[in-house]
Amino acid sequence: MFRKITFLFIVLLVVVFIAMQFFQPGKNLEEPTEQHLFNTAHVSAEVQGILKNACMDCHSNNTNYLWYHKISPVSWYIHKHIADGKKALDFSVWGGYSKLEKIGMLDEVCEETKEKTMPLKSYTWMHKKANLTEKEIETLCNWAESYAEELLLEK
Amino acid sequence: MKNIFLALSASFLAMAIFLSFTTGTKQLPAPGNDEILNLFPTEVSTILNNSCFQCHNSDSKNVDAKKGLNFSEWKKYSVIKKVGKLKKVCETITEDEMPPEKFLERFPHKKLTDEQVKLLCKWVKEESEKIVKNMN
Repeated sequence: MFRKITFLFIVLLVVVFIAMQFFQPGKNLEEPTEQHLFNTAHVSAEVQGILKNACMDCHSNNTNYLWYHKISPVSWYIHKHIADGKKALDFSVWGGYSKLEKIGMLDEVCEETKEKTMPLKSYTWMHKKANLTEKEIETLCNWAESYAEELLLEK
Repeated sequence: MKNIFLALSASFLAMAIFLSFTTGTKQLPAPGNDEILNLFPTEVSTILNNSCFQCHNSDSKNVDAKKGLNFSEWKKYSVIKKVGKLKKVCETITEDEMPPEKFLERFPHKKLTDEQVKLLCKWVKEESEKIVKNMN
């Protein structure tokens, strides 16, 4: 009797898990437009590399998905993170931000990486390249600061 | 008799003057708050003083709060920092992240009303524009 219940329970779990796979969130996979940061400003290859490795998965329209990101419920968890990330800062629509928004965001890029509040721990855990070194943080901050200053001086 | 009357009225007058001074100073904000009350327009400063300044100043024991934003150091912030901090002010109060829930449990009257949030965000926009304009 007990074994039968356990067996049925496992079957139920498997069925639910399989059924869940048919319900998937939309994918964050769009081609970059002319509004993308890299197309609106000069960003060095080094900084582009850091941004791609540590930020763009959640702060742009193009996520580099890993195989298990396609499995529900992980897919939904990732989907939520991307939505939140893009709401705060989306490099794909960088050209559409106002000058003040850009300056504020650049300041945050530097501050959050310095304070290690970004990238998120849950992200760096599986994305080792996103674990920024002190040198990379410095490079990123220098870029953010000089770009913000450049924007300030623009009429 | 006349002298006693004079002495009495003189001391009464002296006391009245003394009292008016002491009660007068009592009505002024605590000295530490002057810095914030003079930074921004009165309606903005009043809200900030009531809901934010308690943690976001140099004397605060909340290290994270003053590291994130310290109004005592406001004048020392660079233009970029100011713009960044201002943006964050509007964002965190709109998202109800600030003032923090724990703080509001102790001080429920410090919760920002929708009108106050609107007023602060409007000010954030104007103040950032002003700061950047003054640069050029």
